[in-house]
Amino acid sequence: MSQPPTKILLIEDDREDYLITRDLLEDIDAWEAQLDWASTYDEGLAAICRAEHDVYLIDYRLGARDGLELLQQAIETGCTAPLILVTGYRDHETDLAAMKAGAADFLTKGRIDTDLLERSIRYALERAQARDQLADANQQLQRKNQTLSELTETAHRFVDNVAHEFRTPLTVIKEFSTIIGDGIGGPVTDEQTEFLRYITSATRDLALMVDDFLDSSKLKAGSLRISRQPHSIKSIFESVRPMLAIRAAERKSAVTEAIDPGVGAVFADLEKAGRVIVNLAVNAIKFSPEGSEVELWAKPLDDGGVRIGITDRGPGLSEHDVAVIFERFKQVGDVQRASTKGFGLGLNIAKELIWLNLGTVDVRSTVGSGSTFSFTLPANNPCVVLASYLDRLGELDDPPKNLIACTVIAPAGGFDSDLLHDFLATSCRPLDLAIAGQPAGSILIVGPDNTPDGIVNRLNEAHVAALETRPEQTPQAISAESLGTFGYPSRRAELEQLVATHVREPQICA
Amino acid sequence: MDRPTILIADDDERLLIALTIRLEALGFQVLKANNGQAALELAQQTPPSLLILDINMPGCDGFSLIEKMDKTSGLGCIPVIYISGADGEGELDSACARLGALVLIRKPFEIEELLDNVTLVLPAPGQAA
Repeated sequence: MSQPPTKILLIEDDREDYLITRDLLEDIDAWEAQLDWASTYDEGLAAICRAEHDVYLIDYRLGARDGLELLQQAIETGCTAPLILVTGYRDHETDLAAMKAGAADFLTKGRIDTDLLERSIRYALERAQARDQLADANQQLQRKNQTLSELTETAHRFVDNVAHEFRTPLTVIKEFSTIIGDGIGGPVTDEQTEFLRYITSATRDLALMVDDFLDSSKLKAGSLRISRQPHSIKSIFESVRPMLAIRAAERKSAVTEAIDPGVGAVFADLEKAGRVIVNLAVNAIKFSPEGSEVELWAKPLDDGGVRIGITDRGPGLSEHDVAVIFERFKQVGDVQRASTKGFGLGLNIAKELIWLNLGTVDVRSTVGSGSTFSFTLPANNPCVVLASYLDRLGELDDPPKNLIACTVIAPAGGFDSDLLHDFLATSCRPLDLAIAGQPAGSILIVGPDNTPDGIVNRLNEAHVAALETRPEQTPQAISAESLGTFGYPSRRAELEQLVATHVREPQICA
Repeated sequence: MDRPTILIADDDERLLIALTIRLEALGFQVLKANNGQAALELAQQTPPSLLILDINMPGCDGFSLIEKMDKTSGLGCIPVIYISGADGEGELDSACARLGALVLIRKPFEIEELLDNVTLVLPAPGQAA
């Protein structure tokens, strides 16, 4: 067999040492070494830059400069071949420095014999080869990753485009079926009117699905914007009433509304809360017997938040169905069963939208006696909303690393609620981004008070870890300072100044 | 008295027909264009009382149409209702607001929503004889 010789360059200013090395290498039986010699630092560096050798042996003493410097420079210029440092005397510190700088080995002159040199070179080459293979594999992996994310991106865009393109034809179908139904094209029989209602109803289903597809796609991309404002439950119910009435009428059913007198205002995205109600109610109407009643209700929670629920008189769900019903694309039970058709994406979207509204979802059901789907919305109280955010941060497996928290303690009298809501609305976006695992910049935590129930005291250890403060601290010991408080403004103007500085121009905390 | 004229621009011919039927039933006179450029030319010939414009149209879209009309004297103050199948997460709404549009109605809409907005600015003359 004829393996090509291993090309070795010795960078060494002592001719005697070159000769010794040459003799040692000549004695190697296992493979053939071809030794070249560079007698100065500069000559050696120039040769390294030409990258003509498989391995370099560098003497530590090279005139006024040393081999360690050459080694570092060689690596900086992109040398990937193994570099072995050789010194005249044993020195543990130089050994460590060489290792740190990237030397493949560190050999002491006088102690080197053929066996040691042969093994050192062989191992160094083997490691270099393994490292190159790893780098290659890594590069391939990165390329594949890149291709995959491009494909995913394309797929998302495709879904988006298709979904958008659906909307105009859907409008056309809907328009003409109502035009015919209204008798504009001539008299319509009762039977025809009923058939037209089916067309309109199916069109509305499709429209809802298009919205779900788009939301789903944006949720996955983390680009779904949310605009939370104070709202009354009454206004949320009003926003969905016309749609629910239409959908209920299609099944000769009715949607009743019941708002508990103790229910207060919530801090939520009205449109998204409405979409959740429509999604849940449309399912409830669909699965209830024709002509029955579906109840839309709202009840207060202990922390001032609100639970909104939809109770139907449908077939109900088994325990297993309840457990899996919110999983994406999952249809409960036998997919052939007509009664569960269309249950998949809508519920999953509902769950995500509830999450974005800082709420939780719940389903209670007994087979044979109907289901109740409900969700919560946070109270219109900055303290509660921020606590919900902190809960979210605490739930994350991999808490965001780039957050900076700031507590603003309001004066005894408190700031007016409008101002606090402005703060909250401004802080929500970075908090949403942080929770979605994206670069968030800074976060302002507005604590309306310093009472035992105040924000600072509600932080637990998980939050502290998430906020990158001092994890060793107990919750009681977390002070406003430890969270990076920027100040304790006592006047509105000072608070506004703080927000202008720290929130509107987010800072990334290393 | 002449019936008020509404100019509709949408690149879907079928939607133009459907909306025309609805608006004519209310007694309006309707002009149809299937792109922004055609709408601009029609508006210059017969300035309408109201514009109903799709945002995404080939060539000249609903937004640039309004910018062009602003430069043409007398057409800048015609009220506009936008209709669109895009969602744009609030960006479209703010663009519409900036251009002074009355409202942005998202497809697929309920016809009552569109007609309510039309009659808000332009009282329906009633069924033409």
